[in-house]
Amino acid sequence: MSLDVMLVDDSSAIRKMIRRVLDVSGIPVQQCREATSGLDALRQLAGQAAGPTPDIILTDINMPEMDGETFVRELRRDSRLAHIPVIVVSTDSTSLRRHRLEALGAQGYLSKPFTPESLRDELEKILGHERCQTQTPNATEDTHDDDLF
Amino acid sequence: MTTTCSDLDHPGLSRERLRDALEVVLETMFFLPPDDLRAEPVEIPAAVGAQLRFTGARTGGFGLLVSPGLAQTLALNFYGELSSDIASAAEVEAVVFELANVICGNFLSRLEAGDVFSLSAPQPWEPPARGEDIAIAASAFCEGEWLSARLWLLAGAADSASEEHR
Repeated sequence: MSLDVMLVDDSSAIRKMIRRVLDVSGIPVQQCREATSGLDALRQLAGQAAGPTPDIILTDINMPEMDGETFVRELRRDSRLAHIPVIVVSTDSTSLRRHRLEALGAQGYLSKPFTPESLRDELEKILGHERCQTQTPNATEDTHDDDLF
Repeated sequence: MTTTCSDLDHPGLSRERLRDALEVVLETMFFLPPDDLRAEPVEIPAAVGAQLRFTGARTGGFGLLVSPGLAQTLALNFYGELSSDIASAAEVEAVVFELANVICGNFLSRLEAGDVFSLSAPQPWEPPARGEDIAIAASAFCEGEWLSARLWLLAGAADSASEEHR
């Protein structure tokens, strides 16, 4: 069973780090540096016959053009995308922010700083252990922004 | 409604929390527990720097200066690369930007009032403008080199910023 992750973050450092962590588990990552381009890409994928939308979305909060809260709200408004679980990855660990994102429909919340283990744990918590462990590790593959939306 | 951020009005407590933020971020995400932590700024020649703005209950700026050798080590640790590798200047700068973002966000999340802040995208370091005096600073010594964080507040912007983000 394949597992695809979409990562939306304007920080190239975070995109590279998360991609490296997920590479170890053989989990492919589609990257977007802006929520607007992420939303466009998701809508395009959802419009295709095969509908190969990602299994889960990781998103930052503080981003230019469209912030993470608006991004989650837009996802939940779109019936083709509303089912995709969202994990918010943010420096903001206040309960107020967390509750706001949960109310909007985010399933997970990962506060920075986080360890690679806590990222994997958060994915497993939402997708289940087996779905996160079923692929062949490919840790030696270098990572680039080739598939950046 | 006026919102106050009581911790930021107590420099001693704020410095302690900034020091705590430095320590936990360096340990958790960069695998570099500091050998020394000080609640004061440290001058760092030829530093790699980043700054960002925050708005919320208080409005201000946050700056981070990192010695070049330490910035290289931080980048390699963050990306999970070997210590014999060399991160490019762009990669190092991106990691210092992210480090500033995480330290600032972690510090602001520690404030007693639990206010929600918005952080701007990090930019290259520039000293604070006139009227933006450094309010809080803390520094960490890792692997024989320093990094230094400093935060300044913009006077008079608290109330409007607070209303905007409620």
